[in-house]
Amino acid sequence: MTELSASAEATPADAPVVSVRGLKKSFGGVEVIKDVSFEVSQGQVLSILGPSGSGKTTMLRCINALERPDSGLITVDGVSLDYGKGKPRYRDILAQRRKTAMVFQHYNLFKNKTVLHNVTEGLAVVQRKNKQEAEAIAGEALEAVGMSGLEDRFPMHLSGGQQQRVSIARALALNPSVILFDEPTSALDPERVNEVLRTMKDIASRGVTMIVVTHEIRFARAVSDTVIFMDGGRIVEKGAPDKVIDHPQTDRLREFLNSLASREFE
Amino acid sequence: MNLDVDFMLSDLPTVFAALPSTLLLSLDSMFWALVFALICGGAQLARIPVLDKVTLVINTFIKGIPLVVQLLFCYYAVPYAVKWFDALVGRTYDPRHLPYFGAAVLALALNFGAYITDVVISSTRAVDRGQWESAYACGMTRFQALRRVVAPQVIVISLPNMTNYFIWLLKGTSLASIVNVTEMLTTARLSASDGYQFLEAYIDAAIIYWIVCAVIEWASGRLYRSAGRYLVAPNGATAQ
Ligand SMILES: Nc1ncnc2c1ncn2[C@@H]1O[C@H](COP(=O)(O)OP(=O)(O)O)[C@@H](O)[C@H]1O
Ligand SMILES: [Mg+2]
Repeated sequence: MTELSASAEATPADAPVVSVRGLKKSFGGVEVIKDVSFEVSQGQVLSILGPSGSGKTTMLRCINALERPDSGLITVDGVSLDYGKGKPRYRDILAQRRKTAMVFQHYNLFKNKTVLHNVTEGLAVVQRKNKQEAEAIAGEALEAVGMSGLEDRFPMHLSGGQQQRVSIARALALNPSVILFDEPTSALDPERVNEVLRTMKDIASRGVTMIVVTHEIRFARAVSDTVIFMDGGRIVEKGAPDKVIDHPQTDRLREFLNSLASREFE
Repeated sequence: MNLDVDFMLSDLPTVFAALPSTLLLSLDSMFWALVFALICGGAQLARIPVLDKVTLVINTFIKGIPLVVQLLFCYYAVPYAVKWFDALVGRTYDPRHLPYFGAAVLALALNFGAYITDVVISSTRAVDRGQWESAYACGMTRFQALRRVVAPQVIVISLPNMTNYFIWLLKGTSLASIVNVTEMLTTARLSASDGYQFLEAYIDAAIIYWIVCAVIEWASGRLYRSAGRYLVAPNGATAQ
């Protein structure tokens, strides 16, 4: 594990929690992430917009090493993996992954475990907390996402929105340095979208650092500190939401925003 | 020819008394079949170089040979193996103590292990990739993800198939009578040989096999419904 030493100009207080430098990734010879760099500071929300196939999911999965980049330096809360130097050690990958948590598009709750045990599992197995401690933390996390009282249900017995809120509780309970969201509302029935977006907004207001891949423009504008627009594996625009969403500089982003707006009238 | 119902009834306890040895042979063979299947299935799922191909070839070989032939092979190979082993450890070879039970277990375990390998592989692949990934995303190691999340689901998914193979194996133990292992069918044959009431004795054996298998199937169904209750939606539909 490489501990990043605080350089002269960056004190630990304003050092980024997540830093991605020169990230590249290809699948079968096709480069889907082409030299992407960005940073996220403590307590900030970064939203990532972009058309389907632009590499958003792949980039997110590189940050918790579910995907192995071809090159690039990724640092999460002081734990760095330099993929330019070849395959990192498994224990370093684990160390970095344990600084993150992920909310998947299809929730991916542990099917065979109850709501409570979905949340306590990582606490018990990975963080080695005892039963009482794990259940107390899980209780708080479930409370935060409005799922108290459903602890004994299996995922299959919940709506999509409820499952996604449990998966947010599971991420939150691990107390990670950053939570990664991959289109958390895309698989939901329209009437379930808002309950999840509200939950995410609550989480953001607690000062949790978040990277959110989303097509929910209004959410991105209301909650993010920074918005990135990706297309073809590159960052095309980046900045504050009122700048990127309300004053797009490129035709590609304008087209993309128009296509999202027109979607609602189809 | 009349069925000797009196003999059939009086012989029932005699045949029944051999049930423990049939069960012992079945459980012993099933245990080693599972061990064999987990090694072969694990090697193929994890794509362990060389071992995955080797186990694949061994399994097609085993599946391609009748069980009876494998039993006979093990039976005739035992004296050689024991002779060689006794020489190795400096013991005097004693043909009265040949482990025929072990030979039967070996043949049954390899034969059923080859089939159960496929159950292990297909049941593991039936678990959604997302289950592994969310376990990894929670920070679990591969082994933790397997032990805590995936394997429990694999066990439930494989239970109906495993039960079928166990029932098949239990009946397959009757073939062990040809290699000097005294199980239920041998006992039935011996008990009938005085009065040549073979049909009656075999009917006794058939009834006991049937009841035992029915009980196993019932118990497995109950276990599946309780361990797999997470698969059943409130409206009764089953996922998978
Ligand atoms: N495991 C994979 N194997 C091969 N190609 C992949 C894989 N994952 C993603 N891709 C390809 O990479 C590109 C970017 O995919 P993705 O990151 O999922 O985009 P997005 O999330 O923005 O829709 C797509 O063209 C996709 O087909
Ligand atoms: Mg995606």
